[in-house]
Amino acid sequence: MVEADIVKDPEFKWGKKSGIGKGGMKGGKVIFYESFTYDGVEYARFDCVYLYKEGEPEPYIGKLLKMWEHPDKKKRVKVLWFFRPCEILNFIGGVKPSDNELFLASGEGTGLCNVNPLEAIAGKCNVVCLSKDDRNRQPTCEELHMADFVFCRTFDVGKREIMDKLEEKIAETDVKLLLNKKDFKESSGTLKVDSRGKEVGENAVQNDARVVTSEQNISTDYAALNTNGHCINTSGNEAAELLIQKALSRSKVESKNSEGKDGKVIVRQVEREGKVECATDSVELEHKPTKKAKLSSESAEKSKNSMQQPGFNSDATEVPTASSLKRSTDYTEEGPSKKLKPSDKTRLSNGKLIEETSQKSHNEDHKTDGQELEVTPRPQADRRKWFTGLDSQVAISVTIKLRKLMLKYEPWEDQLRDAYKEGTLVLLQNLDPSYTSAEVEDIVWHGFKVKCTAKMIQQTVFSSPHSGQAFVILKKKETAEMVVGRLEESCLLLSNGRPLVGSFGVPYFPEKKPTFFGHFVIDKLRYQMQRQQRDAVSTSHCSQPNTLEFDMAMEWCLRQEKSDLMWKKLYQVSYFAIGLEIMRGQPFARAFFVQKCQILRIPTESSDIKIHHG
Amino acid sequence: MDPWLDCSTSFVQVVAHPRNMVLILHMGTPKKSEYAAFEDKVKHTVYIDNLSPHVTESVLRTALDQFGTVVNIQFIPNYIVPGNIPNCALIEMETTKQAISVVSTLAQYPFMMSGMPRPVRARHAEAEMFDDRPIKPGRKIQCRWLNPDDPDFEIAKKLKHLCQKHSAEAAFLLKQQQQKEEELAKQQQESLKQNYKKYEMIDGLLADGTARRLARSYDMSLRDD
Repeated sequence: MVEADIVKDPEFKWGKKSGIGKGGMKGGKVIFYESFTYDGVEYARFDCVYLYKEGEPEPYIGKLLKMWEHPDKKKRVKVLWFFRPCEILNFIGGVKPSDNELFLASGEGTGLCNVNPLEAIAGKCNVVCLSKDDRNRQPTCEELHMADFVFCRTFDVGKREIMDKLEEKIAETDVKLLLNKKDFKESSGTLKVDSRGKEVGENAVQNDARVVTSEQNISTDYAALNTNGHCINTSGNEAAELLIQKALSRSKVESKNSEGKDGKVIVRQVEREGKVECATDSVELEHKPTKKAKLSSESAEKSKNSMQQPGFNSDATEVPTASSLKRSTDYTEEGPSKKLKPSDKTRLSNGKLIEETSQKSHNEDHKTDGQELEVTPRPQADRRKWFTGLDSQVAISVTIKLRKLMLKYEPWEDQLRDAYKEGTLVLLQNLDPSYTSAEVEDIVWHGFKVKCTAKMIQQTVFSSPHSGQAFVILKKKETAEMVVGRLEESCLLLSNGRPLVGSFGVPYFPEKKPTFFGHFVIDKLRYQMQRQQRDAVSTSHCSQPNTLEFDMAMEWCLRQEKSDLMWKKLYQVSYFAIGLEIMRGQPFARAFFVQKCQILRIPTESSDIKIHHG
Repeated sequence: MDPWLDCSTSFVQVVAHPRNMVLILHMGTPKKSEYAAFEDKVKHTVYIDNLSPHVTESVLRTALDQFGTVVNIQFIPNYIVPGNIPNCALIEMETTKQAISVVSTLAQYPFMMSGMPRPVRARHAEAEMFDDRPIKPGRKIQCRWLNPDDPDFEIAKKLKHLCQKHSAEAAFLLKQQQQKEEELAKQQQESLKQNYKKYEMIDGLLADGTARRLARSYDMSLRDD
């Protein structure tokens, strides 16, 4: 069986057999293995891996518990999941995860572990356990530098709580096996694909000049980050190590320096074939269908091929290999790397070092009032995509069965309800209506240095065309109070000179049995109606002028028309009032404003405007 | 229609006051193609409101399938307006042409969704109505805190106040509108009852033979020829 595999795919090879399971449905036996080799990388049991899921910008991270092959050559792995802090935000409570901390799944319930096709594995991930538990071999400095992520706590999927203590068994596996391996070499020795930053740089010169610049940017940026990282990490971890995880891709830029001075940047490509999975990158659009098609249409064997060779070789020719070397360089490409000073050991209280480098300069430059800041995506802005991805998960045709993430994503309505109860809901007004939710989150980040979940309120006919509104959910009540208070006392000016208005949000929810004016019931007919209700579904129609309902409809139309006019007038007046206020402050804007009024046929002279309702 | 945009020319100069350090950073480059695709989607989409809560996605789909293929339906939830306001939804049609035909037909004829006498109303969707709209490419948002001694501080305060006033006014108007709608609904309910009584009477007269007897005595034919 092993031989057959070799013939079919020279890059895949099972390792030592560990056992033979019960016969399958069709006879044959399931064979369990201790390890397998895949494109020159050995994956053993209890190794950590990235698993790629269609539609998710960030790969999942899991620990291989078991691996086996079915008689029909289907290869399977049992994966115990890690949670990123952002995935379990709602349950995280007061726990403050460190930058690259993961939580191992524990307890019982959905999301603990499940079985996936081996082909879903996207690469190896180095997760080191920092737990002070006796059972855990303490990691060496070198290991820490190599680590992509660390973990020391678990997340109980049943209780939905963060647990500090390690249980005896997780997913029926002795917890000892899940911690750091006894043999250090084994865990780190498989990372063969490392290449020095310089080498990559050279490659890039040969292939793509653009990459070179970004490469340089990265080095400088990360050199700068290193020093920052030093300050932060010393708190949690003596051997200061800093990992810059480019979350959207599998290539990692790892800054490997504990001193924080002479930044030696090593660019490691975990996967040579590394699929370009930058969520924000159009490359992804090219690539995704390819992979999907392959996975769904071809046999498992072949789909493995597609993982091993560059996945986009056939259709997506637009993807140059050179650029795939360094994909998520978008951020830094034009980024202000020059502005970063390696010496800025400033507040990085909640500044996640992960993935967003330009942020640093914001922290630096945000000390005093009166400075103008351009709102750029806050750190981890891309997590949003992760969230929305989950939201629409149902719609994505799932070719790979992966972790069920029912845990984390609450519908927005529930989030609002909870936030309102806890007093963490803030309503922002006077936003530009065309801002998106992500941009609002950025604004809050820049204005208050707090993270939040924001959602623009969708415009309807009644909404003011001048003032966009957004609900913002903050982490704590105190933060919400601070935001509202500061907005009240002080003024945060947005683009176009709009001052932001904030208040505690009061959401309204639809009643269970909403009344709708214009929905009539004739008592005596009710019985009859019930019988006909099933047909009523298809009775949407244009009304004819010779019916009673037509007269009624006309009355409604008249009513609507009146309301429309009222709204129009109201917003015209408020438009005028805003303009007037601005004009008062800026006399030289007057000429411009008068002209605008003429276009709108609003009298410019009546300085005191009163709005008559109705 | 945005006064902010128009009047800002002069205002921005103040914002970029020399003593303010202006820092320009680049946004993560939003994809132009993505936004173009979104704009295209907006054009295909129709906004429909005055929907009864009984109108579900399937009702909408059946109702609008006569104008073309309905690709997607998204109800816009209301969390901000108290009380019952009619539902509204975004309906993505397959082509822009279909979207236009929906809007024009519904503007010409009162269209009744699942037999409600209150007609629904359609208009073209706008980008701001979408929940999941992508970031407009190339936009830079700036923000800064104003010092209380800044000459703009007072104006900004007034503008904030104005904004609050305006939202209060809008809320008031909405309430008014709902009241008017309620009145109309009551009135219609009344007239409907009256009309129904009439029909019932006619039905009754026809059933118990009174109509036939009357017709005979007046020498009239009951059949509508």
